[in-house]
Amino acid sequence: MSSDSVLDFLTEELVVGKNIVTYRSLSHALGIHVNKAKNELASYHSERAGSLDAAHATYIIGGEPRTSYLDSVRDADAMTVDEQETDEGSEHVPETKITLVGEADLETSKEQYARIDFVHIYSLSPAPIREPALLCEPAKSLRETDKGAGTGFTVALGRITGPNWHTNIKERTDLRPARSPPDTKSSAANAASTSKNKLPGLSKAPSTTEETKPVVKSEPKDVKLEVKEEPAKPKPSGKLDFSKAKPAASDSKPKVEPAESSPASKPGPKSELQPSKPKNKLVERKSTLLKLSDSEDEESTRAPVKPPTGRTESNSAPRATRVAAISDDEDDEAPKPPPTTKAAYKKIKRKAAVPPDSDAEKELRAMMDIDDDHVTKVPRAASISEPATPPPATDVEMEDRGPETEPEPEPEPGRAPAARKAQRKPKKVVPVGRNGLRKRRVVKSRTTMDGKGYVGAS
Amino acid sequence: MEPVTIPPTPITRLATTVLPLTDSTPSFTIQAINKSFKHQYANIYFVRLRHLKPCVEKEAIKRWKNVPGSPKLIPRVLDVIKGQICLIIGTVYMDMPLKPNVLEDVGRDHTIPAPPPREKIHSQEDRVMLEDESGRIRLIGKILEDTPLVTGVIVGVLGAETSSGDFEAIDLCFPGMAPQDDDGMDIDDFPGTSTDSDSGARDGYIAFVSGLDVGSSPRSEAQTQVLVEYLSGACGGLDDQRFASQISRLVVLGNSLAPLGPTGGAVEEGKEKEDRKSRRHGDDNTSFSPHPIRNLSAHLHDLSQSVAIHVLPGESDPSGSILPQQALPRAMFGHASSFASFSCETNPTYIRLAAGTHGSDGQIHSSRTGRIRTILATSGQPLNDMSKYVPTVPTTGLKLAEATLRWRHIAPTAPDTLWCHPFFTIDPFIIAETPDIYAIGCQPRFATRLVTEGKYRSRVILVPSFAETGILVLVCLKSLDVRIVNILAHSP
Repeated sequence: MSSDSVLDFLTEELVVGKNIVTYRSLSHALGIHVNKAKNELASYHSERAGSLDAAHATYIIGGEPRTSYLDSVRDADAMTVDEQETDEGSEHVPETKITLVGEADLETSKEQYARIDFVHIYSLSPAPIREPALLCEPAKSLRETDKGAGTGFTVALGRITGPNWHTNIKERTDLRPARSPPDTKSSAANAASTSKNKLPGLSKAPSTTEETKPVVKSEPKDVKLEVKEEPAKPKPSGKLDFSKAKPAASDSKPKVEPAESSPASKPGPKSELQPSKPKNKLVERKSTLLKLSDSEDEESTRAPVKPPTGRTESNSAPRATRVAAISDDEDDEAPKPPPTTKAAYKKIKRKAAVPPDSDAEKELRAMMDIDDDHVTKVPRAASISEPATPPPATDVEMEDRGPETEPEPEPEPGRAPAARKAQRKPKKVVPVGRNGLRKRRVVKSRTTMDGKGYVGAS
Repeated sequence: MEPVTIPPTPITRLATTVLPLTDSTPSFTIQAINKSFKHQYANIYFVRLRHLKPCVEKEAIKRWKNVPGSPKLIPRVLDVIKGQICLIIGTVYMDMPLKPNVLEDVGRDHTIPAPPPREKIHSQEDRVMLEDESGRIRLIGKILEDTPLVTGVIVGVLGAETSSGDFEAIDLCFPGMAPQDDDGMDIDDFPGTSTDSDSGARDGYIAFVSGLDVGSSPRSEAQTQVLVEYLSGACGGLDDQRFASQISRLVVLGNSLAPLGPTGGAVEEGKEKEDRKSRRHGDDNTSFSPHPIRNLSAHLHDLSQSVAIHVLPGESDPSGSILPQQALPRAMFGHASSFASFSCETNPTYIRLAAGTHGSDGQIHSSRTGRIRTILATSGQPLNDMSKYVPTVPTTGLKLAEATLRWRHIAPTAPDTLWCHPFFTIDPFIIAETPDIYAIGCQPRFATRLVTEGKYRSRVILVPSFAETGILVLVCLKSLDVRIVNILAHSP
């Protein structure tokens, strides 16, 4: 007697959906033992035999065949080639034959067996199955549920597993190869498993890989910060370095920043913000700027709300003095969500990099000029500040580089910015039209043909 | 039809543990240090001769010590004295005109397509030579026609040189079966295979299957599915499920993926024999899959939840074509690779098993006293190559497999006609310890024999392609008995 849930399921699958139901898919769908599912299928089939919505059954028979495989092979050989394979041939072995047949061929197939061990329904289908491959369809959805459910589920359903299988299996949630070296903890756990010696790296518990990941992540972050602190303070991408507005203060600032941000970077950007905020907003913003520039998505998502606002306002405010004012204004604004992708981040940077057409722009430029000076100042401080005792290598280097480098270290630091300023000043102003777009020269082009017959545009 | 009984408690499977490989059963993984292609192949022959010459000598002395004339061992083949009966040991070289010759290949007419590779390369014009470090000498004699010989076998020959310069062989002597570890108890000590289904008296079985050929035809898909269900204990009545729980491991002996594309005339004929509408998997839409590997990994994932699996690469698998084929990458098998009990092996490979499970303290707990079984498994390329040298009629595959055990070499034709890695200091194909089970896959038909020599015995199994025959071979670990399961999917 089929129970209600089974009945509903079978009706839905066979009559409504016109799908094939195998005993395995039935057992997985309803969470019953496979043997029970076989019985249910049998009762459903027998109840409806002969009626309109009869389901066609496919049976599976197992037992000892009348003519064994070896005999049949030998007979086939005897017909083709006359050989004495029986004499020194293979030994006779007990054979179990399993056949998958449709119900129409059930009786004829049964006759091929000398002793039948089992006969049960393999599947029910709305129409007789002609292609055995159709029976593979339900297995696919079945395997999906298997994957999600885990081993305990299928054991209850009748799957035979080993006694220690739950410890043997290292279910890995991520199938990426674990890069971190196997630590002793995981190798001790592996001693209990039956994995082979040459695969210690793979049977690592996923927990170890997760643990090592954040550690690994924060390390390059620190490293990157240290490295990038010195050489590139203000990047040409438009990020401004307010701390450089005052040359006097800026000297100390870059030195202060590396020292400050490196210890501060470890606890994380948020905590770093709090202590340094009262001290110097510019400093903290700069380090967080750098942090954002160095790191990718993870950092930006983790970065607190403050930095993006700090950054956007920094681009708009050229001066340290103005920054203070603007930053207060911007702080009150609703914080924008941090950019989640590098592309978005770059877009913001680019947008911010377009100079607004105002005095601010000119001040910006001036600011940028100063920045460069100070950039050149800081790394060269080691070589320039003590020209009396330069290391011989650098001396040689400087000479080797030729005249172009000579004027640079020799003159005062003040002259270099002056030279730069002179280079920069005669920059042309971009003409902007009425609607805010750049004015462009529009030229009518004419196609001409020269003497030789070549066509050209002019 | 009576209803199937439901077991009260879930049936658990017998477990076996894999033991680490020893020096006499080495690993075939090629390490980075050995991965050099700079040297010639001749070294393999020298190493082989050096290793097996003492064994042959011992055998020869044992065998021919009572021969009149007291033949002596001549150390160098070229030093034989005319007319005097003596014993020489060397490597067999078969000079066969039909053997694929690279010079012919280069010199042939390239405007016409190449002729298909021959099935047999032996002919009437074959000459058997015996070679060692000094030189080679031609062997003649009636005994050579009766004994199957292939290139690369180390053999001792008793005979005398004739006036024409050839060596007339009277008798041949091979190294004989390699010594076996006596820890594995002799089969006579065991009771017969127990058929009762008490959990205490179950014998462990190892299942061997070969040539799953996933992606070849839809019929084999259904067969593979029934195989998976049988092994995981879903199929059959309660008794069958209990029997299936005794299968502790499955070894897949190569050719798990069907070769794609036209594979030559032989394959087409075989398929034409079957009365099926579609021959290529592309023609049949019911189970067309652009990624047969996904089907295979789904089957293996299903199986690996129930049984420990070892997968060997075969001829049609995406592994290297030179022996020893390296293990397929685990990542290829998707979710199946997340199981520690799923392992990819090289081809050929040794597997050492002990009954029982590995406890958490690292000791092996087993209900029976420590019994170690060694399995040597190959995907059949050496045997298939060797069978080209000899006519099938008197010398069957089984005979050749038995002969390899007596020659103490898995693949004697290795550098000659069977592609292999240029080993320099070792020849890993030498059998230093006779395995308990010698399983060879991808054979045309199933055959098995228990080969014995003195107190050494080995169960040789030739496993046919599952996609064609549906045969699954089960070997009892205790008694080395064999059973087969023949799975068929009828299509009306």
